[in-house]
Amino acid sequence: MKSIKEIAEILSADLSERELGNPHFNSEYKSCPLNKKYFHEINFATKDRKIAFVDGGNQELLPSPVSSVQLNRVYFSIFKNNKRVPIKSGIPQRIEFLSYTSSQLKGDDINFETKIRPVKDKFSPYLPDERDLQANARKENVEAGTQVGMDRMASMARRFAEWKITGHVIESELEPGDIIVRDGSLQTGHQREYKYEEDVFRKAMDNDVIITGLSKTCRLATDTRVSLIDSIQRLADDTEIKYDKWCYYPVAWSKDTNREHKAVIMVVKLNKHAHTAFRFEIFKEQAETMSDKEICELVSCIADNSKDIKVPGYPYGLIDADLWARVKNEEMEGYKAKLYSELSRMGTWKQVNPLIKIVNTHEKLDGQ
Amino acid sequence: MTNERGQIIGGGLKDIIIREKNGENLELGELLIVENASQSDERNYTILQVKDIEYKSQAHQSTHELLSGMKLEGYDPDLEFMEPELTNYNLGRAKSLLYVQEKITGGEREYITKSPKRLPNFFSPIKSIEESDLKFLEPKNIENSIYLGDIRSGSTVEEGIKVYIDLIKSLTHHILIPATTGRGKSNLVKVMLWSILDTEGAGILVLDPHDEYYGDSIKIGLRYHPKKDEKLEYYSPDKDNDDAVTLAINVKKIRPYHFSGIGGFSSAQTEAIRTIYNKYKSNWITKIAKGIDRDVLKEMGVHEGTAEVLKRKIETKLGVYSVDIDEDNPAMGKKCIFNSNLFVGGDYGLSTVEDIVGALEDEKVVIIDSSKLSDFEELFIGSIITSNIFNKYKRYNSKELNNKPVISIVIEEAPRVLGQDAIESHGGNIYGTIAREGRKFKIGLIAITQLSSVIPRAILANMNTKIILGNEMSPERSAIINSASQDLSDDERIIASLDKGEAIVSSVFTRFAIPIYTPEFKKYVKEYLDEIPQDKTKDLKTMVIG
Repeated sequence: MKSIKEIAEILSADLSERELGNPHFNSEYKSCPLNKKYFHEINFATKDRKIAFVDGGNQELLPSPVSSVQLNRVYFSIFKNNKRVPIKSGIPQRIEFLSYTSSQLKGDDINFETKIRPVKDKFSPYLPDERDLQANARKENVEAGTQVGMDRMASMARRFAEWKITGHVIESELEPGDIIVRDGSLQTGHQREYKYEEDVFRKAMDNDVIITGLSKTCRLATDTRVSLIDSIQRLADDTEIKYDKWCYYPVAWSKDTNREHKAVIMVVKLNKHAHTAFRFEIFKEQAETMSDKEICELVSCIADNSKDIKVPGYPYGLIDADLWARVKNEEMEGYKAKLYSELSRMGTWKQVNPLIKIVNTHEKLDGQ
Repeated sequence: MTNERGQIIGGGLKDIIIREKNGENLELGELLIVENASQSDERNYTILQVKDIEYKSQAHQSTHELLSGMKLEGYDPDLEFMEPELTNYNLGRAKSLLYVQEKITGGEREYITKSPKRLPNFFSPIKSIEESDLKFLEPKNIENSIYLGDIRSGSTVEEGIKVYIDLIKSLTHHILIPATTGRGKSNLVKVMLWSILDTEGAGILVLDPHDEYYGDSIKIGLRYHPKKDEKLEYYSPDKDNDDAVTLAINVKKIRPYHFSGIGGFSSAQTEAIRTIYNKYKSNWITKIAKGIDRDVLKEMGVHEGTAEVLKRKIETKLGVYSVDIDEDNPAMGKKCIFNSNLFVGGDYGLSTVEDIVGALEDEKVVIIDSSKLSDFEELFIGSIITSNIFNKYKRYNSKELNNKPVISIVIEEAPRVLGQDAIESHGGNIYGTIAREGRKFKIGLIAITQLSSVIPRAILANMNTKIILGNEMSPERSAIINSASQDLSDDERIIASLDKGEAIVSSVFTRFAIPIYTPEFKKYVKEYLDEIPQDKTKDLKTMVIG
């Protein structure tokens, strides 16, 4: 097809013409220009530490333009020397809860509110406070009324629950020197998330447990608009870095004024067979107290857990967490059937059904 | 639960899927137990049998291939399967064999066994079968049964659980022992016969083409049984065999129907034989051998050429021919020459058949060494004796028959007499008759064969007990499976993989197809004889009866 060929040519020319540039961040970060000295070799870890991996997932059970019912799930697992560590404290390794997020118009403002209900009563202590699950569309900087906006607001409960579980794991399961690896960045996504994150950071400091985040995807770029991950990998190639596994840092430090993100950002290649490097973060206050050697040692522990052939170079604990936290489409049917039947029994179905249809038309067309 | 081997994760009654616990190594044919929910005074469980095992992995095949390639080609992968026990595992496919309810009523343990009609609970753990799980097999009556071997679960032999089958029922309903060479047929038959020597109520005729059952001073055989003198008789055509009674049959005892389906005579020849027999009665063979006068043949309506062929066949098959009494004077007449020790004239061997039949009626095991006989001679001797028994039993009234022992004939290479051709030629033979009608007259067959597929289905279906040993040949397995008393449709692989001594007992008298291992005869006899001084009663623990 001619158009494809032409677009490919444009893309190819554009990418090859661009210089690598330097990491580009806003004023809330102190970024460091690319430098081959920032590559640090990762060797085998010398310390035996526990690593806890935390991930969450949510899916929409009942969509509508003004509300969303979601099934939320948070999971954690702990490994030491690549062996799974049994949970000793009785924290449920996986919690599930339903959430109902709705929007109300208040003057010119649109407010969101989320109600949550645990699937089992024993999950209650690990859920966020419903009072924290209220938000204003303007303050959250979301376009209310769009699916993206609703998805973002509906994800609050799951994100907060992830922090809650992380805090419990630190206090009840880990020991000084142990590591938490969260799926994704340490950056907060919501106004009130700060409170939960701060609580976890405090617990981490008190218990000397290191908080980190590893992102599967990274949209960061350099100031020449080249992918940050790609530019660092290319730098490794261009400067003939011979390390099988490396940790590139610092990429950037969040400034003290940055309330939403307290981290030192780095890029790591955790296995020689990894097909990509990943963005990796350490809670800034902890990273600041660590020497280069200590940071390398910490990353080595995670690299030792990143040998699984299924996804080389990605921590096995996060593969495991993703597997158990993800809400799969086939699981949704049972919940949907029960919810719809309950709504029908209550006589609410005839009001809800048209709302679902409004949102679902896309899906139906896609299925044709 | 201790002894946990895996967990049920799917499938159906015929194909229950089990995830094997890491390192448990389920085996093809292994028996497993799954407990069902039950009340406090009751235990319900289902017996499963592993029918197939396969590799499974959470990772893609391409990932395995890549890792393997890296290792094989000398790359340092620095990659592995994290938690390999969770990622790579085996799935077993099992079939529900039997549902067992165990209840204690008034201190007595009671069992109800049923064909499984419902599934065990999803995710139920499974465990290896133990002696206590097979208590329901314990017999109420342990008299007069044939020992077949010990219960086997995969390749593990449960020596405490012995499998017996009812003597009378199984023998009258025929037993088929199909297997290829070297799988332990003779050993099994020896063990069976040894145990039959301890029973009452059965006489067994054994046509032994390898002279391996009786034994000698070197080779352990049935002659070592303590009841040998009262229960065992041994015949051999070999005059030099001091252990055996010389087998000689007077040709006067031979009747035309003894050749039925065995002799290789055409319809015209069979017709001629009958005519000649009707005229000359017990001398019919010597008359043919000497040659019948042309005019007499004409009078009987027998073609001269047919008589010539008969004469030749009598000579080649029975070794009976004639010569002139005086070479110089042919008018003096002819005299018969009996070329073999087996078929004789004069007054010798007149009572042999009656003696053998009498011994069988006396509940003895009669072994006939047919190792030096031709194929025809062996089958013909069997036909003479068997016909004699059959006709005798047929004449008994029901009261008399009731008091008679069951008689069974052990026949090797059974298709020689039970194959499609043998059954269909000239009205069939006595073995076919017994296969079809013997049950009514308490006469049965123990048919041993490598080729079940050439035996007509109707005959195979009449063999109500099949002791199936290993068989590599697919058509043979199919023939056995298609005529088995239990549904063995998914046992192909199990049968193909049976090792020496391992067998499956499929019988109308068993609740399920029982896997067994028959001990080595020599070892079995040694243990048996070692036990005698302490306790003459046998270790009869389990009998599988209808």
